[in-house]
Amino acid sequence: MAEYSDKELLEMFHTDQSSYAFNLLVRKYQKKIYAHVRRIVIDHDDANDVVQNIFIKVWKGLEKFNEDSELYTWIYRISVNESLTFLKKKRTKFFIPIHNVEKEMSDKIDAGEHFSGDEIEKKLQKALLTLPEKQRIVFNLRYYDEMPYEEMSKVLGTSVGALKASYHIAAKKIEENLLGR
Amino acid sequence: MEELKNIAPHLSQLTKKDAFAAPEGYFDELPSMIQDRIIANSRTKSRFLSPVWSLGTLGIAAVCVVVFFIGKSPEVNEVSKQEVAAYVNDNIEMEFDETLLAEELATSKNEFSASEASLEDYILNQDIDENLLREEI
Repeated sequence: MAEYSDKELLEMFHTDQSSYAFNLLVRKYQKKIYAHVRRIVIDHDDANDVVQNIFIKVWKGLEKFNEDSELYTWIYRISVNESLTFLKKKRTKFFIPIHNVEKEMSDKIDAGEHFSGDEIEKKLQKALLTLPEKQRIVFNLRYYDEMPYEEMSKVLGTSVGALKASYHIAAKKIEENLLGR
Repeated sequence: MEELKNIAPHLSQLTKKDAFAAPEGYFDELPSMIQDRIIANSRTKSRFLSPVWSLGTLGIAAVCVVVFFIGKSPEVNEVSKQEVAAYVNDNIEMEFDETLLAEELATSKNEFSASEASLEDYILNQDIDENLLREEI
């Protein structure tokens, strides 16, 4: 299947092919968004719920989408917000203190369900869970998605300088954790 | 990766891979799962906006308003305890045949039993003038 550019998809959406265009958009971004969300919420079922909510929000907002900003950046922004909202709800819903949610996610990595990584990868993911949420997101966007700082700045609404500092601190912490310091 | 070499040399040497795998066939099904939820959402929305639902909601609201006002207006239903006591004193008390009442109580199938302690508690709880009671006894 030919992959359309974001501009082409938006043009198609504004004609009478909105459902078809949306379907193509989901197919274009689903793997990236799933991977991004999964790294934040860890569990597959949780990631599935969040990803569906993200695309439903995209569908609802696409009509009014301001084409001055990039579609890709906008979808990532929704993803970050939805993932953080999900974790927040999880905490307030079950009155679980912060460390317990992280413990639950760490246990899920150990259980290894839908997880294909080796022991080093497990260690890395568990080390990532020790970071504050937003720092973890900065690290994931930079390390795994290789997103340029300028784009990250648009997604997270934070200055490039602050993002660089955040990534630097996160990488240092991970390094120390991996080396067992 | 270049920027990592200085900050975290060990981390920069790791092979980067996506360890979080989705179940097989997940990405083939996801678009239709999302479409189904969008359709379900719009159905629910349109159902609530349909004339039947609007009329139904309006009807329920009207009934609630009527019930609220009916419940509020007849203040005559609210009679104080004092008023009831006064009415009994003025109208009913004199009509009781005490002998008949005593006989009725004696032959009643509803047996009444109470311990001395509970009777004592009852009397104490009734705010009865103790001196008056002693005089009566």
